[in-house]
Amino acid sequence: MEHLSFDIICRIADGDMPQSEMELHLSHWKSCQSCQQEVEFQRSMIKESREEQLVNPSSRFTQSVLDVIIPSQKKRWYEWLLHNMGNVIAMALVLAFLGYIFSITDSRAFHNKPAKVNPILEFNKIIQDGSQQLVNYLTPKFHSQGSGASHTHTIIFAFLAFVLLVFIDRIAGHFFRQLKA
Amino acid sequence: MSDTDREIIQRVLDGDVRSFGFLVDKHKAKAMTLAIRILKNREDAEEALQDAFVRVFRGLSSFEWKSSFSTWLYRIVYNTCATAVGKRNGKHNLSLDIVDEDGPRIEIVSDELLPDMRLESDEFSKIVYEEVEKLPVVYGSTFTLFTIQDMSYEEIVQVTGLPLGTVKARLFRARTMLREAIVKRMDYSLAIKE
Repeated sequence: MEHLSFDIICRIADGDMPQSEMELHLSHWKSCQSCQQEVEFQRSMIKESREEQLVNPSSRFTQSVLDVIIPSQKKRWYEWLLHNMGNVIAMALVLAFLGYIFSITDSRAFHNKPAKVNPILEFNKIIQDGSQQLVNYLTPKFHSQGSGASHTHTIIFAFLAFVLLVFIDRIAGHFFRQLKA
Repeated sequence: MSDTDREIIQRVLDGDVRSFGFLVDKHKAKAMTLAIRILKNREDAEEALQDAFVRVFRGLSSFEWKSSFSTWLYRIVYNTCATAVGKRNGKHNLSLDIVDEDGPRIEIVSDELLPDMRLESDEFSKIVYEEVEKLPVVYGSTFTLFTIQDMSYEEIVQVTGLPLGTVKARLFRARTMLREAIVKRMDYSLAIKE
């Protein structure tokens, strides 16, 4: 018995045969179990191949393509500084501003007017005296060293404040990232 | 509804370069499957695929929509992988086309019935998958374009740059090889069960 050619089997399986041509093979097709089985086999094989699991590249693939096509901008030093120390710089500026406000307030103004107490001036006095005592406490050995010592106090105080701000910034950043995750 | 390729490409051309990432995400799995079929190695395939996507990006402005975007993309992936195969084999510009594929045509259908296979079974799926992977590069790549990418003969011609007759011959050969290998394995597994 002459069977359908493999080419015809594949075309029938793929649905790639015009009806007029199909009619030529129909009588054999209906009576031949081997050819029917071959067509079914080809259909199943192609169906399984189409449903085959696709292979994905690594999870960083898309980003790695974008990294190549988007030219990386070379960051300038002040961009790096703002990116890494922006919060610290902002906090330092606020504190410096407040310090400046306190420093220009003449403490004698409220010392000489005990009768009528201004609450803002009173608050200023507390901060001013408190920070001075803190500096004195932290740097007792410089306390009695004449006028040059006050500059040293300022530098040490500024340094300690800066370290504290960086520390706060890093801790806050760490918690923020954890919260985001 | 997700954006069409045309919409995404327009956004990229309008300056939103990061939108190219959507295009990559949309096509990377099928393109990677094709690359692995050709290069037979995950690392090489990923490297070639990255190279191909960069080429696609650089050529976007000159893409004229004479074919679908995916056909154009797979053509670039196919050519990039072909070049990589050539470099790996120590030849400068090996084409996947250099293969003698004119062999005797085998008439497979005979009076013997195929073994009693359960064509919907997991075992059948597994065997088909494994045997497709084992196909030689020239047949495996053409067969992958036909099945995974669901391409017509004409689209495969556009991707590979091969004559229609060669594409048909390769697909025919791939199907013949797969049939033989699958029937052999199913016969074997049936014999073991008996």
